Amino acid sequence: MSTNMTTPAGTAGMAVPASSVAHGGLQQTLVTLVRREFWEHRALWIAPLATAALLVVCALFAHGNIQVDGTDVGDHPFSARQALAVSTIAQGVLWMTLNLVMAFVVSFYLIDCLYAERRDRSIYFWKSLPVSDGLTVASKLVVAMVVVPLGVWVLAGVTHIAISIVFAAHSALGNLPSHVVAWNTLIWLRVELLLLLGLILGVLWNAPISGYFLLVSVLARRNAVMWALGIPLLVPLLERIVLGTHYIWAFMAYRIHGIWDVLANHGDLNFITGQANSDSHFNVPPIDALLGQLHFRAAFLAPDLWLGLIAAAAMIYAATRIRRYRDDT
Amino acid sequence: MTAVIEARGLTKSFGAQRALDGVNFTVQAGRIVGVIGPNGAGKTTALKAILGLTSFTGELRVMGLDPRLQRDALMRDVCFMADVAVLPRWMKVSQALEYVEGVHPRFERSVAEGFLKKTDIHMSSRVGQLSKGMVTQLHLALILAIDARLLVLDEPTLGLDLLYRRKFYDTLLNDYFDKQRTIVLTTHQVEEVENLFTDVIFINHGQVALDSPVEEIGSRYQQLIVSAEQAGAARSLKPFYEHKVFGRVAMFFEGRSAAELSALGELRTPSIADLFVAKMQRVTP
Repeated sequence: MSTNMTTPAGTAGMAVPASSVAHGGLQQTLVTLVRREFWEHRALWIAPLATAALLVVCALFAHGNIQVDGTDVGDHPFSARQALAVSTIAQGVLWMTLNLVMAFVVSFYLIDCLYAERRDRSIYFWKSLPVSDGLTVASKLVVAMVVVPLGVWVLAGVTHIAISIVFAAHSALGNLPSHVVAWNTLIWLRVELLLLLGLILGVLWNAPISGYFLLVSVLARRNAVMWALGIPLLVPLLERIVLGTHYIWAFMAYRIHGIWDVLANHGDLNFITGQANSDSHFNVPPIDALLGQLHFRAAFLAPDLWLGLIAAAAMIYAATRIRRYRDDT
Repeated sequence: MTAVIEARGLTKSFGAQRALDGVNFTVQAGRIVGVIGPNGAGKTTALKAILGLTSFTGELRVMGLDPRLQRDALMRDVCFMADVAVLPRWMKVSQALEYVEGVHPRFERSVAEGFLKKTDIHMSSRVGQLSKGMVTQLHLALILAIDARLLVLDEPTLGLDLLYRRKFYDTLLNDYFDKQRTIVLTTHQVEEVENLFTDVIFINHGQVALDSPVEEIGSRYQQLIVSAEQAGAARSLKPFYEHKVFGRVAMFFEGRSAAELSALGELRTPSIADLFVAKMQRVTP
């Protein structure tokens, strides 16, 4: 072929994209990328939905005697405050259950998301389209840190309402004494709001773990799950054997529960016992008093939270850079 | 004519081994270029460099852009098919269309749907359920619907049966290619597609062994079939490769005039496949 020299300006002109009026730009691309994650990783939505459905079904078929202090719940002198506490505890337990499921599926999702595309070679398809590595990694973080957590928060709220309705129906049908079923919309909303704050706190606090999973996902040549879970188990073990210390283990444990200690003001909470001096152990202070004991401000301002976010940002940036030329097929 | 791809001193090393060793070539707009070479010759590495999928040294401009730094902008104008079966197995056909429509500003969904209607592919099927040939058809449907300036295909029909291969190249040539577009294609099955090419580049051991428009091959390279008696005289004109054909000898010359060769035997324009074999044999003694 002839070596036809062209000016850079002449050739650069060809790169100017044609009219892209029909295309919604960055926002549409991001929405498409996020949807694509739910097509591929169906466990992300199936697992929480299935868990919630199972809990509602359990509530539907709930029967038998609930005993409090050795007496049947129907004969127990239940105060309205106690009944409300039970409902709120149920709200929290539901939330915890769905969060556990979410932690599980989101962890495996993050470990898999940048590894699977190389394993099945589909990375060549993704990379044949005008989507940058930064946007690709961002879409996976949006799924893991925004869309799924918010979805689970909504789902937990809806599930609690559904279960409350089921119990109200049980009560109406005489399966359950009416005075144990309680509902207070204002308190329910306050608790939901607190759970949302806790959710945001948790997502931010766990960001370094998310970043670490992404990094393993982009680096692993095989068996990404083994690497992701093996390193945090083997390194402390090695430290224990070689040095006889357990600093790494303590650090990792801290990076998991540390922020909740701050939130609970280092265990200085008074949840169940309250100012118990009656004849019943099942005595609770008002919900308001309890919720007021959580130190959200201190937790969100904790330096370790922000140091963790910096570490997470570094790992996420590294994962983006590595994906650029990661090429082992 | 404008250069779509310009490579100068393109070099890529894997440890001590040089996959590309100072390669120079230019691809003009509106051409169909066959990049041909044995396995491990550096073809795929060259394509990956063009697509910004690998790091390299040297100079490379694709549509005036540096694939290392401006990959995202480049991919609006460049389309590629790395190999068969890189579409994810979990994806539904409808999702594939929806995805490309969502991320590519120049994707015309109706074109892809029109092409798919002519195949046995159903919208609700998952890629994993399709045959290899159908997956390639689906990928082709997506590519046809993207208004790209440069299409890069790396062994797009590897492992497909003859009917799918034939249909693939027919579609490419009739429904896709026009003078505004450029296609760069690597393949093993040279015989089947040599009529498709307007230009060929042979790559071997990381170097360009031949780079020529197809219409110039006849004036640059000659294949001479001579009888055994004439072989000695023909050899004095220094063929770069020869092999025996039914008791006669086929010799390959570069830059000889028809007049001096035709006196010795039967003169032909070598096919790209024959020329490829001749060239590769020469550089690998």
